Amino acid sequence: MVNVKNLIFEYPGKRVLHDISFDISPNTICALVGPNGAGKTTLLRCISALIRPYGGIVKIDGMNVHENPRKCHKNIAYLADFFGLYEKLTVKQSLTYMAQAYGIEKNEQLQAYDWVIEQLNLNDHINKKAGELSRGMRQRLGIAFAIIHKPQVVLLDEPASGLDPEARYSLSRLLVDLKNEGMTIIVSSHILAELEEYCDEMLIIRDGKLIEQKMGKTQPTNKIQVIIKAISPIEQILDFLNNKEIYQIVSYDSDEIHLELNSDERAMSILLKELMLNNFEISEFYKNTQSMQDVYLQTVNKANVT
Amino acid sequence: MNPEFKRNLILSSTPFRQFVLPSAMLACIYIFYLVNGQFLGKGLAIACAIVFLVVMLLWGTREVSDSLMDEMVEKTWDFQRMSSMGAWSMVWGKILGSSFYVILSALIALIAYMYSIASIVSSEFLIKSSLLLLLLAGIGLSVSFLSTLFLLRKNPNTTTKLTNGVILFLGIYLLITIIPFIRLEQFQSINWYKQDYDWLTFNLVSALSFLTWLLIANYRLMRQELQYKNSPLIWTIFIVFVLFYCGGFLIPLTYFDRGNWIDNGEIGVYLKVLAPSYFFLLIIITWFSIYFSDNSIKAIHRLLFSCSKTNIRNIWLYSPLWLISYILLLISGVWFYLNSGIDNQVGIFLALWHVNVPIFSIEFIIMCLLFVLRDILISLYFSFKNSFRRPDSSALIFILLLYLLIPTIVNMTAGSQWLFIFIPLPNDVGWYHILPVLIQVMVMAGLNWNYYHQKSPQPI
Repeated sequence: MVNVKNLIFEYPGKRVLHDISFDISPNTICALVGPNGAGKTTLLRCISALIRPYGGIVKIDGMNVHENPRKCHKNIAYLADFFGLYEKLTVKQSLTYMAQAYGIEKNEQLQAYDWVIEQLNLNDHINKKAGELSRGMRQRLGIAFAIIHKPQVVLLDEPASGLDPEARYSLSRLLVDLKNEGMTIIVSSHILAELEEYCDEMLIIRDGKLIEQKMGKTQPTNKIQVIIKAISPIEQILDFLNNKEIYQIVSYDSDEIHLELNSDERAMSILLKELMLNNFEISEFYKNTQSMQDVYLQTVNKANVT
Repeated sequence: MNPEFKRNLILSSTPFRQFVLPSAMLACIYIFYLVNGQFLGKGLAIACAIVFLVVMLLWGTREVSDSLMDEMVEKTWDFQRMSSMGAWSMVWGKILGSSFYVILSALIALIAYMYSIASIVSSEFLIKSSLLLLLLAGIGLSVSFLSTLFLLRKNPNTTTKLTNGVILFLGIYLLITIIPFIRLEQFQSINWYKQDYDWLTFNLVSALSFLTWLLIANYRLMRQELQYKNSPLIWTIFIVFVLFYCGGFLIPLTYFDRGNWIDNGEIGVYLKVLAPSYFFLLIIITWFSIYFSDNSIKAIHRLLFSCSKTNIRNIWLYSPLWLISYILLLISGVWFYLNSGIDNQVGIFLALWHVNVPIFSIEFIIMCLLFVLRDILISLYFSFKNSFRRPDSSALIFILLLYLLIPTIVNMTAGSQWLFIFIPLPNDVGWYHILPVLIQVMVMAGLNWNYYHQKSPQPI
């Protein structure tokens, strides 16, 4: 759905994006993560054809966005990290304006308006002026502005920043709903724990370079990492484990061992049984599920080493 | 209805604009009527015309400028740029929508103007003068929109200083435009291409032409803002138009005492006679076009890359305006040289200052071309070097220092014989006079090439 090839962007005197290439499948939510100043916002603005890159091609649904910016805008939504609203217009006036501005046919405008009001739970606020809305409601209205034309691709730059936990939760629900409507979503964020709940893919960007494109939690894996914490001396447990070939010790310290099992969860229960039978005093035994944050940090650390 | 027009209309419909402003306008006109001894006629008409222009050019322009500024300040511009609205819809929607109530109020003054002189002038004069007032107001609004959008594109953080600058500019413009109305009865004919034209008709057509060009410029600049590529074709046609339009006024100055054979009116004769005027006009146009162009390394890189791939379409699309202007300047330089044998060939500026220069030499023409090239390279250098906050203004100040301050100091200390290093002098120019400016061009070209190679990306 989104194809980026050899994208290069420079601000005067500084290259912000270095030869970035990636593809994003349709109907997915992709997290765009990276530290401040990594180039996330610039990348999103290039994809949305708001700025013209030095070089490279961005295609949305097979169409070059920089060759046909206006045509592509019918299929793209973009919400900036710092966006504004028409403070003196009511929610209804604002959304009606956006529906017309996006060129939605007159007979479909009401339908689009109802859909977006429903999606974003703005029913109780339609007669309020945008300037009177709370932070969370403003964020919703901003997203409503962006998606009222039901685009195929939605680009959101830090949509959760400044929102309270409740608003963040409803935002994550909204993104899943939009995905279920058939949209492809790219979300840039710092809050990796939240992205984990709904993201299918992750793009890690640093210093303008794409470090890695990872699959999210839905990607099946053959390996299980297990953490063992023990009261018994760790050395004795290590001696015991070294004799077993199906386990691979990843790391250990004075009270904890990280193991990797090349098998399914059944191997875990066998391992625990064996440890108990050998009278090791185990205080904790659990599967280490790798969070998105772990993946991110590992990838970044690996990139630092290389 | 155009959504942008509608939105601006809603935003601008405050009670003040809807009721207070028209009431104040009516009260103002009534006071003028009383001051005029309760008579209609010329006095009241002039007052109404001035009020119309003041309201439109000072208030309307501010509304138009603010309609763009607010988008930037309130950070709603991205939503509009992502929408499906066309460039033209955005231009006219913003201009007319934001100033709608001001226009309505000003129209009261215009109607009063028409009513007060309806019985003392011909209907032709009445319609033409009213149309001229409307066109002047339209020019004011378009200039406001164009300058605001242009400056915001140059520096998105521009705030109230910009609006004040626009209003100051239009204030001066206003003073110039209302002068003929103050002298309602003393319209003189206008001599253009050796023909006399009615003042009002000529200015009406001129105002219409310039308003059209301004709207085209607004449309094209908005297109650029919406990430469309603009070819320099329209700029080329605009230059030809300016040369043609100004040429009509320059003929008497260029050839004021040689009217016999020019009266034949052949185009070839005009082109020959106007060769020096075209040349000097193109120098000015080229200087302006440096400021209107995107002089970033990125833009130059795109052009050079297209050249390296001999992609003619992209070369044309990415050609900066100064390049087009400079190419036309080169052509006019050749034309100037080919026609420099005609005697009494006095350039427009030299004619204005009564300097007697019979024939321009080829060396002088080359010097002029090299000085303009040097100025382009200086502007590029300032744009390439990122240490200047406002590269255009810095380059302009630097160029002014080179043309004004340094030559003055040199003239006072070392005498006028060294002035040719800093300014092109038409008198007694020899080939060796070209050398200093040639060196300046080469130095600037070298510096730019160096910067370009340091900072531009590898060919993509």
